[in-house]
Amino acid sequence: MKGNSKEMKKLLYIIVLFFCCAASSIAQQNYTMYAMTKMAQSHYENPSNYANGKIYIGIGLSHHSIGVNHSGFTLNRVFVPRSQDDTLVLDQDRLKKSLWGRNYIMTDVRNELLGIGFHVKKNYFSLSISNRIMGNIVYPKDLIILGLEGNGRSLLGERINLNGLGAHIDAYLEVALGYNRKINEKLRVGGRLKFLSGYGNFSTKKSKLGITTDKEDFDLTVDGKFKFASSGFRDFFDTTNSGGGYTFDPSMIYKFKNFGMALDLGATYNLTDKIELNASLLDFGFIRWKNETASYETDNLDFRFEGVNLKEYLNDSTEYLDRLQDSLLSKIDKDITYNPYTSTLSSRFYIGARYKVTDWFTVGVTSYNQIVGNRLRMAGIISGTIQLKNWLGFTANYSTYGRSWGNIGLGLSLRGGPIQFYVMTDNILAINYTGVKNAHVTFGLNLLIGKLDPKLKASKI
Amino acid sequence: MKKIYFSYIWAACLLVALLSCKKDLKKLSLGEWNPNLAVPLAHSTFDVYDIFAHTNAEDLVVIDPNTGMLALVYKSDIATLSGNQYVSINDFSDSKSLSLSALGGTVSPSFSSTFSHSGNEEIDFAFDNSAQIKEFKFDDGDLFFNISSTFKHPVTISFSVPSLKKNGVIFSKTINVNAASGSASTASVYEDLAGYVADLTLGNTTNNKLQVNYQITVNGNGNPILATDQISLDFGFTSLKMDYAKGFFGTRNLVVPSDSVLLKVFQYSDEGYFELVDPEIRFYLTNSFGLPINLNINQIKTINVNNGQVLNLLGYSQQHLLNYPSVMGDSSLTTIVFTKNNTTNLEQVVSPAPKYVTFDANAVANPSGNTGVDNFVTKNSRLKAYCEVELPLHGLAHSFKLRDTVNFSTPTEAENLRSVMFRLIIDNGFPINVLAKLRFLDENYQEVFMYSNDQLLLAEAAPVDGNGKVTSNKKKISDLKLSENQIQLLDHVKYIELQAEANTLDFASGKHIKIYESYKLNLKLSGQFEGKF
Repeated sequence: MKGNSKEMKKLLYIIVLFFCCAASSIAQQNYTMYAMTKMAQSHYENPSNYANGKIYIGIGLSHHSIGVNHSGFTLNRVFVPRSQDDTLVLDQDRLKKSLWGRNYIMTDVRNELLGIGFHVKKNYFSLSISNRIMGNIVYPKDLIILGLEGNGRSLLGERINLNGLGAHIDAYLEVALGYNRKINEKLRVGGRLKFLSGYGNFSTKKSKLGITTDKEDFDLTVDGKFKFASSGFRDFFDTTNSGGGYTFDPSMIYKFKNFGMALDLGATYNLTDKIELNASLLDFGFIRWKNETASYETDNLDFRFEGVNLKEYLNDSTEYLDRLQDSLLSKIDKDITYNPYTSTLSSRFYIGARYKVTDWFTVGVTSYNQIVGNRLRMAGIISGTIQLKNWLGFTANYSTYGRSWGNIGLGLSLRGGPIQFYVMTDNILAINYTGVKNAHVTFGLNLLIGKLDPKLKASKI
Repeated sequence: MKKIYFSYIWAACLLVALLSCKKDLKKLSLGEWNPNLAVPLAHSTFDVYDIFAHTNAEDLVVIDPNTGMLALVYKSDIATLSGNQYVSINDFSDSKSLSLSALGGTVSPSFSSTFSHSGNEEIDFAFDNSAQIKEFKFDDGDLFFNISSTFKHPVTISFSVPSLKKNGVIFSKTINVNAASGSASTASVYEDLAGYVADLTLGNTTNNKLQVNYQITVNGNGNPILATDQISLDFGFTSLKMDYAKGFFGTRNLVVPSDSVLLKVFQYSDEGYFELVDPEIRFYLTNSFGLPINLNINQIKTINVNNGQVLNLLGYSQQHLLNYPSVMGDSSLTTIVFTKNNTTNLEQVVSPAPKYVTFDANAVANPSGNTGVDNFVTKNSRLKAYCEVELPLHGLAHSFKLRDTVNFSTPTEAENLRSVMFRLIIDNGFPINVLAKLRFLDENYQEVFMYSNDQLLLAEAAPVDGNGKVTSNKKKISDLKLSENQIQLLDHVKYIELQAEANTLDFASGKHIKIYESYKLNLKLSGQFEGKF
């Protein structure tokens, strides 16, 4: 027990540390799946995991996941009841206080079209074909304040900070070949090599914009630089296209016109009989976009608008206004280019530990990290997993992410014969959608054939 | 199994608790939205030329290059008299019939010999104003001879004008007339007079005259000579134009039409008082006529068209003999300057912000008659007179009022505006205060409302040193906030009338200021508009 107590203290220390780091972070979701190590799809969150059957097959319904995360505000935080009736009114002060300097709206959608996994001695092989859409919209707090109160109040004399404004959207088909192997009694490692066929991308490459309103004379100074690249959005920018617009050609997907590759790596290590350490690196890769690309880049902006020059205006108002318009537009009206470009995926990595409390109950702590743009986003999760029988598993977790402390995740897996059904969420509180920043659900139906030889299992937990 | 049940019950309770927390979001309202936009509207830096001479930068002149001190100088051509207008020569023509006897011939049934007759004719040109011209060069014109002969014999006629030369060569012509057959035989000759110089003195004995010599020879061809045979001569000078003329052109009055100089600085002013140091009125007369001319300036006065006030300049010298060249082609300048020292009230006549300085004058050529010195005039001779009124920007001014109207339209409907504030920032480098009233007018220029009944100090005069020169700029920020009532009336406003009044620094204490070329005024106009949605 003494040994257990020490281990528990270490674990608590790690938990506190994780949660402190994650307190002001946001993240992508699928933490619950990470803890459900008996699920075939946990292989996608940590390639050293594997299906709990000799053979796993999933067709169409095997894995569907959607998650939405907003780091800014919750609806019930910013809409308050009006005294005279039951109308909910936007409280602008609350809205402003709810926002951080930079706010995120993130989505992650995964639809597995085909999944196969099987064991051969100590080796586990997998194949997965999935549709994946990941979106990340960034909006600065000052943008909302500008919309709410204009530039004439609290922003007067201040730089309206629009740094980071932009979006990162990736849509692609993922064909993944997975493999893992039990190296020894303590260690199991795995990896997935993924071939990607992109069909839509928007990448804000550079976004450092600011507008300053002079406190005395209200002159407007714009500074910074903006750059984006896109594929599949050309119609939004190609003003010369007078035709019927861009028509999505599904064949471009299987022809891999926008080809990319990515790698997932994972490992599980049994530190003791009760403690397991685990880690994974996911979506470390790129896509080369060649089809229907459109890119735009401003010069380094640093111009001041002082209003109309009266002398020139009085001299020739029409010509002057035309020249003024041309001059202002010339700062931002740059040609759209149509060159190929490369975007990197939003890489993620987990690192965690699990403690086996009883044979059927384990607790764990996990740190989830994601690179969005040039920034590292973090989440902290503590979880408890009950594996009552081979056919019944249940997990719950508490996580903090997206600047939200109170996220409760639940997961359930049921198996009847070869059929395994599972459903899970990273935040069950999202049922009350007015009070949460995160919503997520994952579900699927697997076909598991054969019983796995216990000797092949890497973890004793 | 208990564990299983426990897990399901726990999950169910949690779900129920969550659902009970759900709010009704059907009645959402964004509430009142009052964005406040602060935007720059206009800006400019005005220099002295923009302010005092925006229509013509040449109106502003640096009168002291060392300091850059300025004066407003308004110029106007008063009159121009050209040589062609001054000397004009009339056409001349004459005819002569010579009978057989006058020609020295006799009747003959068959004449095969020759006989000749020589003679001359004196031409007296008529010049305007009894001018006595000694030498005249033709710029254009024709000399023609028409001959008619009834002789049935060829006739030869030679003309010459010894005093009419071109490039030193005397004019002469010979004309052959064929023998008449039935009717008279005729012949003609024309000579272009351009370039010919005529000595009209007949050997220094007279003026305006020219002598034409002729010799007529009848060459007998065997036909009879009748008693009635004769020869007729017609000749003349037509379409004459002068290149130059010398002589005495007579004493005569020259018409100098009345004219005026517009003082643009007062053009848009309703009223005002100026006390300028050392204003000047200058006349410049450039004369290339080679004769004495006396200019008589009858009247100089200023007119304020707004109030009809007319002030006459007094105590100035009216008679001025103009300089004239002694060599043809040269010109001479005569400058007549009126200052406070050679007039009685020059400073006073420009004080009430007059719009015009007007002049009335006449001139007399050869006012002393013929002094024996020849006059000359060429076709290019000009007597040009123009006037300058110089107003040094040194002194004081007050109650100088200007009025102007600008178009106006609201950026949005007034009902969507909660507050409107215009901010005017004037960084003034001029030692001049500007006060103003703003009237908001409808499409018929009728007042919708007056922004303020009191004048607003929009530009504060910059401080000056002991010499009246600005030492530093003065900045003034004026926030013009419209009341809610005024905002509601904005929809009817189409124009804003600015009634401005300018006063120089400390004018009440008689302080004189100076305006230098380096002065500038920076203007910024911005607006702050709060919406109501």
